[in-house]
Amino acid sequence: MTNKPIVQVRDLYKSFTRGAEKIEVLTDLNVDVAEGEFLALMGPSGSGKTTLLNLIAGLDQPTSGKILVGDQEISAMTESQLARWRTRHVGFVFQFYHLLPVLTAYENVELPLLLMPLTAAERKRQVLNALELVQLSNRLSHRPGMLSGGQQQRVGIARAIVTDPTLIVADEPTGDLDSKSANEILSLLDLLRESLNKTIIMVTHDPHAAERAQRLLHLEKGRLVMDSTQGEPRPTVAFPR
Amino acid sequence: MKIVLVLFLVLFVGPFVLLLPFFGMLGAMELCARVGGRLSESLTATLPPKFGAAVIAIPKFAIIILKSIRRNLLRSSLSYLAVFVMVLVITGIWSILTFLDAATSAKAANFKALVTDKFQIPSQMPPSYIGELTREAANLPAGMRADPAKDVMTWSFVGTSLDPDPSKRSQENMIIFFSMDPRGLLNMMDDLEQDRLSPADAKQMRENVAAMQTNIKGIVLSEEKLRTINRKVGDRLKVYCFPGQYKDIEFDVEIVGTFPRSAGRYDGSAILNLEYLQKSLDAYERKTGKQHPMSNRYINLFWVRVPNEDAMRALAESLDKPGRFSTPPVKIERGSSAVSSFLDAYKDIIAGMRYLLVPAIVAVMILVIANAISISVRERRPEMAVLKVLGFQPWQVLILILGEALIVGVLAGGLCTTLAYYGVNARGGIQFPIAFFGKFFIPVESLWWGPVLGAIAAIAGSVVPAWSARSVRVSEVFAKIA
Repeated sequence: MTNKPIVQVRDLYKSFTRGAEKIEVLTDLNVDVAEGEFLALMGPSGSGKTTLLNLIAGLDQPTSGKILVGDQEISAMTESQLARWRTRHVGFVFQFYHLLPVLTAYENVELPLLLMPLTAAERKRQVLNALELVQLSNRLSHRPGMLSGGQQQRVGIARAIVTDPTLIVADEPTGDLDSKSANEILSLLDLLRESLNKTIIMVTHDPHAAERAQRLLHLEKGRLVMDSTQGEPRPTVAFPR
Repeated sequence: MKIVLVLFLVLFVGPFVLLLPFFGMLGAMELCARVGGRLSESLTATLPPKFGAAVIAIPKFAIIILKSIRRNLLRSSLSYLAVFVMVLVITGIWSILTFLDAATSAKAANFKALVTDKFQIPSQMPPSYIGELTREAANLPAGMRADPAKDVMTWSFVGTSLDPDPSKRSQENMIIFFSMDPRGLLNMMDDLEQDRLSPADAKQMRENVAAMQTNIKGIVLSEEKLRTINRKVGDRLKVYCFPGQYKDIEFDVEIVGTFPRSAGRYDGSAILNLEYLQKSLDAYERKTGKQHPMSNRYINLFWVRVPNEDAMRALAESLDKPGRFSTPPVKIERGSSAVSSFLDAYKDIIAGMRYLLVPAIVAVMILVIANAISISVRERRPEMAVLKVLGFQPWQVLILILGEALIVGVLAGGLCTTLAYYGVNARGGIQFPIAFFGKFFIPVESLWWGPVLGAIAAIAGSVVPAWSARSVRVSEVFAKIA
């Protein structure tokens, strides 16, 4: 892990309107995430952690404030610019895997690479590497329905890392798994951070999962109420602007 | 028992048989996409990565689309069958309308004009008019005149029965003849012109005409009519004219030939030599000592081919000159306009088919596709969101959905019209008696109509759900799932 922040969130506000009602989801949020850091986001339902994750991953736009990933301000990008940016810079791991049921494990992992200028050989090598990393080289032609939940999530992780992204975001990646499979997935995320220096941001409700992260952020009612390093809870700190 | 069998065939065997080519085509397309993918991978190895990747991605996208169609086999099959059946109905209607349009559309040059009794329906003109009208047409100024040997023809309609007892008249013993000069069969009859027939069919018609000229009692029938009356070529028969028309006239005829199979519009038709009709009327006069009531009015229609509109106008002027063609007076009109007038009685049903039935079927077809694709998109919103998360552009998501509908629509339309074209035409066309047309054939143009119609319906039906898939908001979809 280096100290250089790869994600910088500045004065972030996000609100939704439902009918005449305006709902403040995130309020005046400032967060830095260092390169190679494994960060866990926790908080009760409705605290805004998934919204924050979506904003950092470029899936949504803030109401105000800035988000920089690397040296790019993603909060100023258009939808199609964001789509292109996501392909190269973000790997997303979902709670319910969200693999395409009609495609094999190989084809699911290959999917994001179809959008990148790679030769066939490069594409094949990257897919096989990613599946080998998650130890599913022997399940290339299996469809999601033929895999266990843990295996499906590993395919999901392979799909997330196949483009060699800057950032991996995971929304409750262990939420649908038994404890053994959950442990395997968390170990895998650890491995990605350690061996590939990937920056991982994970939303979780599970304290055991959060323990595996190096740093824990706790959100409540859209505000950051706690920022800790692993095992060292501490009150919210003001980040330099 | 028979009803049960028919129901079984229609409800179970029929759909299965119709689905086989659909799945066969889907499989073949996927195979092609895979082979294409492999080929493009090897062919694009030397191209710049950006361009090469775009080429490689096309077959990969096609595979995703094809696999998505197979995802819910029942829904895809039902959509395909619905479109198939509706395209089939439209093809049938369209075939009839196209034929009638062709029959009633006015040609700019070398068209046939029809001379008939000006006031009486049915038209009845004296036989002396044959020579007089022919002379008028042949004496037009150069560049307008008709050739008496090949540009004129007369028709006399003669209703007959194999049974002398009118009360026993039926489809199985009735023959309605066009009585005419056999030479007209080679030059003046629509779809029987020598240059329009295949060499074998043209030869068959030449032999028919030669046989009728050699033997004035020779008749030519359609194969269908032969089957109906249960006779064969070479048979001799006696036919009795309807008492209300050519009372007490009988013909001893010999079947000398049949119409070519390709001339399906003449199914049910029969040709009698005009000379034999004339001689029979003369014989009646010799036998009874008095003229037959029809002797002086047995020419129903006089056809003449004119080179252009000016020639027809000139002929009309010469026919209208005072003192000429006054008993009865005659009128001249385009053949197409005469057919149009004849079809006036059917105009409501034709308009209903054209402006109500066809649009209604197309609308239903669009709704069927819209329904199937909407359900599919609604079920797969998380998938669309995932594709967007992975970096797919909205237009790429749009194409994936439109592609599914397009493949189903084009396959249903294409397979339907291909099967209809070869199947229906081989079985003798569509039986739909309207005016003097008994049967209609699926035109060869249907081979492109079908896929295009299926494609239009598919795009119209899927554009809204595809747009909705394209516009999926990722955060909203995942918020709902969470």
